[in-house]
Amino acid sequence: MKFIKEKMVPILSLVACALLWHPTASATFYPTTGDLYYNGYYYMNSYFLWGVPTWSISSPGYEHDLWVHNNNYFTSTCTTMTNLPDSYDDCATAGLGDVNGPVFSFGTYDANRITANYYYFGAWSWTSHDTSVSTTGFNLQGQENRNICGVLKSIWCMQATQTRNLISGYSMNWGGFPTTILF
Amino acid sequence: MGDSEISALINSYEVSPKAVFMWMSGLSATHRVNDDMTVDEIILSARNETENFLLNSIEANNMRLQRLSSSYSAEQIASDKILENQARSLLNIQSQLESALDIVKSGGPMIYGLEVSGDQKALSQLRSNGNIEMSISTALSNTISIDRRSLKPEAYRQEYRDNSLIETNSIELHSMMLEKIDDVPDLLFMKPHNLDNL
Repeated sequence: MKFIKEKMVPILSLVACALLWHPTASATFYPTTGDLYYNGYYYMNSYFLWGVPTWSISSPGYEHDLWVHNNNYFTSTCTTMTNLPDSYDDCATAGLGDVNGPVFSFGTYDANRITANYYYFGAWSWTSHDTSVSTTGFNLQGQENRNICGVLKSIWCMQATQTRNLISGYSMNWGGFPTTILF
Repeated sequence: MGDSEISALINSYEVSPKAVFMWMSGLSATHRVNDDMTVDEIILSARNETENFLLNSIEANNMRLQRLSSSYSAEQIASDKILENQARSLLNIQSQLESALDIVKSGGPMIYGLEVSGDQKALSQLRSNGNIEMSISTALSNTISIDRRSLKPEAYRQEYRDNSLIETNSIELHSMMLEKIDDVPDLLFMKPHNLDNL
């Protein structure tokens, strides 16, 4: 991920500190440690782990949301993959009702199966891009959700209960330097 | 079901494939296309895309293995439960990605579902085939009606666990991480400028 110039120094400082940082055990619905990698073109992935996964409902789901602010930065639907337990891929709904830009997601129907201090990962890829759009803002968000369909498991049933920004305030540039941001 | 069986099954109906749903070694994946494709084309596209996807992911996992192994010694990882869990999980992901790549490259079964579009008659004919379980979505103007069932097999909800890793002594984890990094072909290894940027 290539960042706009004035943000490059703070990012490098952040990464240097994070390499020596040992995660603390805080109780959260969102992963307390992780990263986001972008190769500058069509591929992104994220690694993340919880200190003490804690939920506000008894049967929670969890969703890892990549919100790309510009509708035309990626012009194809995405392909996703994740090792989350009982996982789902939610590229199908990206853009539907996302008035501020598409949200590309993957998640788990059963967040109670998430293990503390265990790395999970997920990745996204796309196949087309609008060449007139060279940069876009984005957010990476962690979301606790609930299944409003009861026992049926479908991406159309997962409704947000809590959302947290994991990464915000950055831009990605087309053709930029492959880069990782830690959170 | 293998690719050729899926192709033969779906090709006998006048429907267009839009997405492929896959599962291999505990990894769940969806490959969706914008262009009109035949069943053979979308299956080939899914396999090629997934192979590239996994190669990119192995490369990216190596970056994490390198980051952890260069930040902590073997003794530090072995004596700290949190670091030990992190090392085991990254090695498990590596094993999982390599196992999935083997399946994709060898042509092993990986597709459990297709999303298709077609007219009412074609979909009804498809539904009457006893070898196909269907979930119907219909779009009329701006109204979308969704059948909320998931067709993902129940067995696919299991997580991948490399048993050899579970049995590995914690003091050996560091050297295992280094071995995995060294095992990666030059083509997959992170280029120096990627590491410089961390």
